[in-house]
Amino acid sequence: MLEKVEVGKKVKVLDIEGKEDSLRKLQAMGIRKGKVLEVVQKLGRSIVVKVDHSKIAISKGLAQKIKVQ
Amino acid sequence: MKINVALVGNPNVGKTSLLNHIAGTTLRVGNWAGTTVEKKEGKAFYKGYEIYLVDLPGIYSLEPFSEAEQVARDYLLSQKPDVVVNVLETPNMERDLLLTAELLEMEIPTVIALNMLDEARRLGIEVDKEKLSELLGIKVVQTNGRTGEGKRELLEAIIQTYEQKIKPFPLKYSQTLEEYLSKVEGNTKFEKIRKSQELYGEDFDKLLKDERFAFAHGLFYKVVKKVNQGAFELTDSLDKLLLHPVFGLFFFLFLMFFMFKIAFDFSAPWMEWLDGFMNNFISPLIVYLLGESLFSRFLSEAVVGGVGFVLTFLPLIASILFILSLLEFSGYLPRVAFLMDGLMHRFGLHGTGFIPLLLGFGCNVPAIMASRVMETKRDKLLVLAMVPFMSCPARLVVFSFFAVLFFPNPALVIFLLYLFGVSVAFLTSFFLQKLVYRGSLHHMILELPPYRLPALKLVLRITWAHVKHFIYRAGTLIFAVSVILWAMLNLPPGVSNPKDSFAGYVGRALVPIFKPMGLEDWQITTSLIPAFLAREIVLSSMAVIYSVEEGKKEEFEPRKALQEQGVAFANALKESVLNLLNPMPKALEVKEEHSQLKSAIKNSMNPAQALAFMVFILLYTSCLGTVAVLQKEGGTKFALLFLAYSFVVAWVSGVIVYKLMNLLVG
Ligand SMILES: Nc1nc2c(ncn2[C@@H]2O[C@H](COP(=O)(O)OP(=O)(O)OP(=O)(O)O)[C@@H](O)[C@H]2O)c(=O)[nH]1
Ligand SMILES: [Mg+2]
Repeated sequence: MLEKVEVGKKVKVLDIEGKEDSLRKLQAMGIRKGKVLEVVQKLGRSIVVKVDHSKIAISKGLAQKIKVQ
Repeated sequence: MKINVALVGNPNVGKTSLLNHIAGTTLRVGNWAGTTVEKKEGKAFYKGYEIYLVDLPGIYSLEPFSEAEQVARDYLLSQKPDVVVNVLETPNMERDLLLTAELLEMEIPTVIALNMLDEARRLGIEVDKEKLSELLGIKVVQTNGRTGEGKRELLEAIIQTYEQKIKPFPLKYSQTLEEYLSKVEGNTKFEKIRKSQELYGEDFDKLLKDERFAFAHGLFYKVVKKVNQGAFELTDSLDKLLLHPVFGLFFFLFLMFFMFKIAFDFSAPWMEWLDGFMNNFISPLIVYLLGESLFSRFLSEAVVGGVGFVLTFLPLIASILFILSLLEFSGYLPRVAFLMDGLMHRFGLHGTGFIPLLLGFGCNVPAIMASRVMETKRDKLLVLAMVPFMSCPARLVVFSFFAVLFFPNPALVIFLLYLFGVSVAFLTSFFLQKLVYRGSLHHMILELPPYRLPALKLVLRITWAHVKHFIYRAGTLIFAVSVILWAMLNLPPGVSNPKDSFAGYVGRALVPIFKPMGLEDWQITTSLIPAFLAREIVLSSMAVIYSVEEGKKEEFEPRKALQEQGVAFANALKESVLNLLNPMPKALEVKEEHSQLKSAIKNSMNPAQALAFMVFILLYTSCLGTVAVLQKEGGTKFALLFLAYSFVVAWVSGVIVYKLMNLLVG
């Protein structure tokens, strides 16, 4: 789960579970199966990940639904 | 000949920047996703064509997620532009190509603009645009939204695409998907896909989504020539500090303090100079030239006294807006939203809501519009109910006048007022979410773009646009109000004491309402009425009222006075620069001498009354522009209820502050 990854680590997205709007949006924003994410920062309820050349802050509730390796 | 062109692309890829370059417009640009929230247009004439460009809010996909995104999608589907310009952020091409795939499915004439050419180069990313063009069958140009590089090529491409009706090659998805599609009727792939979605439901959807991603991925690897891994990204290093849970927060607080310090210190000498210029030069000059008459009194009291007085605050307004624009351009705004997420959450919102609040310090009107980035109606209404309590420069103008007059440490008083406004905003949201908008919170998704150096020219242009608006308002609304007020003060004809004039009568009728917060003078209550239109009018009105009451002025000698103004101007220039270099806040020092207006006001109020008055001005939504945009975004009922609410809150707070101050001071 992405939520558990430590700051500074890079991980690969295995699967994104669920079909809520927010998850669809995340995928449209580039967090897709097979992409490598770097966890940049974590603070309170949210977490910042870097994918390619963009950074996205998402709430941990969403990060829970992203399976990573 | 007219060509209708729509600019479509992901948020923050530079659509509006390109339009500004092509059409010479000054539309709002900002380094965060969601700057443009409604359809905007501009036009350019090129090779005999009138090219009519429509700028749309950024969208990640044709399936919209927020109100602003819905606008873009609806436009595309219902208006059928002649040419679509799909703007891409080259460094994030793989992400952006998803939307491209969706656009290609529509099979309408399309041009691809690969924007942010400079950043791509810096990161070592090279795109084979010929190959991209060959693969898709459409024109591809490279552009730079900052410098306008490539805009001619873009216009050429638009015209050629229009003339030759260049449509993209039909997209080819996998066999399985194509089989689904072959079973339904439809003119374009887009129509077939829509029908299939209705027919086959979820399985089809999932397949389609994967196919689109695969298309984007595949195309990306075919056309991106070289990716220089490990290029140094300044943004990453900065983010280590600025997103840091502790340091980041300190930095934010420091930055806010610093911004206001600079704005004050730079503008204070200029405001003082302007004030002197109006009172000691223009006003007596009019009397000198025209002699004592009703007309010269009208000019010097209503026009110079009212309109001119408000104009003296221009330097402060311009400085604040300049600095806030810098902030908006830097890309720091969404970072603050991330840092504030925890705090915002306690009050029923997530960090994204902080962006409109910060923008509110610049002007409430665009800040309220920015609430459209919120994803649900509930979140949006909460933000709408908070923004009007964020103190804007118009309020600051009033505060800086009264605070300097009545308090030994005005900076602290102003800071506390700002803080008080923010607290009321949060309390409002807190109660609203407990009582009315219960529902649960949406997840936060917030893009943090790379930091970008603000383009000075653009920041100056945008500041100037604001300043022009302020001057315009002074010349129209404030002028009209000053004239009407002045007339009311001089009616019925022959009235000798302004207290007995029509204006005095209305003001005195209102006194009972404001008496509990210590405001018993008709001059003050009278000036509050027209202030509903815009807050700074409270000052212009007071200036008019008190200048009508004032007596004669001293001797005036034009040549000498002009010389004095020249010297004062040079001093202001010197001082504002020196103030900037000084690390300690300099402005807002209390001065000993006062102009006539200042001493008149000082004699008719005490600090407790002044503070209560400022609190009232802070909280009551007395701004026509704000109410109008609240109505547009939240509905008439919402706007009226909010107006009433803000009046009650302002009144109660004013009374409490007055009573407390009296207790404390004794
Ligand atoms: N370095 C660089 N910056 C650019 C370029 N084009 C635009 N920008 C910057 O990118 C940011 C976003 O530009 P906008 O024009 O507001 O983007 P937009 O696509 O209209 O954004 P939304 O309205 O939010 O969808 C601004 O800070 C621009 O100054 C470019 O070619 N190079
Ligand atoms: Mg825009």
